[in-house]
Amino acid sequence: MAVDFQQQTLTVNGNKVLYWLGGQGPALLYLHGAGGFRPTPALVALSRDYSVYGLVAPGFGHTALLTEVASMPDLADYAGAFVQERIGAPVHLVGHSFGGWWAAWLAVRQPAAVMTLILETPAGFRRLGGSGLHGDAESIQRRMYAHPEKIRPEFQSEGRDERVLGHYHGNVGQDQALTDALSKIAMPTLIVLGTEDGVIHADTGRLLRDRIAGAQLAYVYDAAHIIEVDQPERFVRLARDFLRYGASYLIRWHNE
Amino acid sequence: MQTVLFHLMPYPFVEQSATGWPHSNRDFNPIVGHQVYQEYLEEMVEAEVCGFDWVGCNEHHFSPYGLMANPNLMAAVIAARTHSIGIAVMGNLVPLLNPIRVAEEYAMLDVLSGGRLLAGFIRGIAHEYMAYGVAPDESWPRFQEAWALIVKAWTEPVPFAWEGEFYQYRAVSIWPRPLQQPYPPVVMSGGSLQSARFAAHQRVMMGMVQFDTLEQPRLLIQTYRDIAHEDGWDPGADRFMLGLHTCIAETDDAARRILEPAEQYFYTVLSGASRTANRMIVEKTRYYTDAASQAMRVRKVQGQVAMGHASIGERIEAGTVLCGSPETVIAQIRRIRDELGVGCLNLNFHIGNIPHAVVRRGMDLFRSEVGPVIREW
Repeated sequence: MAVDFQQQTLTVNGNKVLYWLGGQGPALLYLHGAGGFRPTPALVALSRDYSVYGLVAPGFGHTALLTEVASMPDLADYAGAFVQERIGAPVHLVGHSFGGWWAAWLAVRQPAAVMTLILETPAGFRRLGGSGLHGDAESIQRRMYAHPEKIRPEFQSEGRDERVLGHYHGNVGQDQALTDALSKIAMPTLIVLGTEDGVIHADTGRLLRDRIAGAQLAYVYDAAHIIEVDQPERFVRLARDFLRYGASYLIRWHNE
Repeated sequence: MQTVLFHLMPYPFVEQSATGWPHSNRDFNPIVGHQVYQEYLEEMVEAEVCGFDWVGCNEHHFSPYGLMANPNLMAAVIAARTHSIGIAVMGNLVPLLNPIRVAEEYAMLDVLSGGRLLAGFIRGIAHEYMAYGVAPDESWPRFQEAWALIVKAWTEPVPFAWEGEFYQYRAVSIWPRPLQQPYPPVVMSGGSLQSARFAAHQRVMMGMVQFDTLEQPRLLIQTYRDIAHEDGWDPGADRFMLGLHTCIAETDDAARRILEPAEQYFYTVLSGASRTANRMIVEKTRYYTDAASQAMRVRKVQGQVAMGHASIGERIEAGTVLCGSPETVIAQIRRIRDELGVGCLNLNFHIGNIPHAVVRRGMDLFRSEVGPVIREW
């Protein structure tokens, strides 16, 4: 599978913004997880139908933190400014884990910028407590991947930087301000969880589905936290149908 | 010791075994079949007053071996005619079915019966895959995914989509949900080593049936125990259910005279066609995904052929049937308990073409003499 994402930069509000771009079609903004942007098989597949913009948060991808972008709402505004400057129209928005947290804030703060929202194993809503990843490397990998044998070098995370993550969200398990604001999200929203996820509990999906009007909840079978690597075809089937059909993705339009 | 009155609902009037699979339904007389269903249902309903803990149904296709293509239908009838006995559906052949339908029907049965369902998750005899046009190679992964999906359907309180290898649903929210929480007790087949390992990981009851020696269930139980210990828990005897053909009469001789021809009918007439198809699938497909399980199954098929030729005395000696007077059967059950450590027996009284009245007499002897003793173990 060819990896055809190119790294690009853009100056927005005087800051140099790093992003990746791949594919052609309607704009899809992808907000990465705590391991940074990776051209996963799922993103490569989506780039066949969409222009996938992988925005890099300051502090990731060997960039510096910005003092004026110091919270998840700030980071949402940073993404909103990028959409306005680079794309100039509402986008499909997909956020994974930390990026799901980020995407939910963007949908709350700048709803006009978002046509459709997909929250993929989103962090920030852990009612049962717990944040970050603790334990030895093997146990962490088991919680992250149902199929670690599918990991390729180009999908490898750049590694979690707790300092950078703490800069944005203080390493809290649940973002109460965002949870309280979820009812403001009105665009078609899909929450995607893996059945084997050892990081984000199903409780997160239920909370989001209850708080976001009309939101849909989906489980990808035999996938853990990194669904895009564990089961890229299944994730893409869901995402592609939801982006194409919105609420009527409930209809089975085709047999694959 | 807990007990199930298990029923296959065999068709008792086939004159000779089919030469190939499937058995032509020309040999089925619907008028006779109506009467047979009434008698069998009466036996199953009477299991309650005879002191059994459960009454057991099961699913088979295209064969006089069993007339329960959909065991949930029979379970619904039994639920309506009984009050307290558990209803063991052993089980739905989940890789052949729509798993959402299985989740719904099991939940219906659980609510309808007031929480009396023991839900069986079974892959079935290999030839069932020919009946329903499902690739045997897919049996095991379908089973695993269907199990995960059904548990999710039973327990997830909000509508959800499921995106899997074999099953895709965009909005699942079954009505009703099960009465027993978080979901009904489950029994899975321990027909192979991989099945035993899986059942142990899921911490559910394991059922075993039709062996020609006690060595095979012993190995399966040990496999289950080893996995349980690796997973950090210690299974009690109630996790193991052993299926046995059972004939209780006033004397040992009387019981043998009843069971021997019925066993011959069972192994040679009722099972002949399906055994041929079963062997074909076991040998030519990946129905069993690991070599040890496949070898065990081939050995089991061969053992069933051997059982068809074995005398009733040899089967009793092997411990693979219960046959005799009440005192003798109690001793046979004690031996099985001591050798295997099972805490539940799945007793099939209506073997082959044993007449209804004879089966009922055996059940009465169980009620008055056997059940009261073994229930205390």
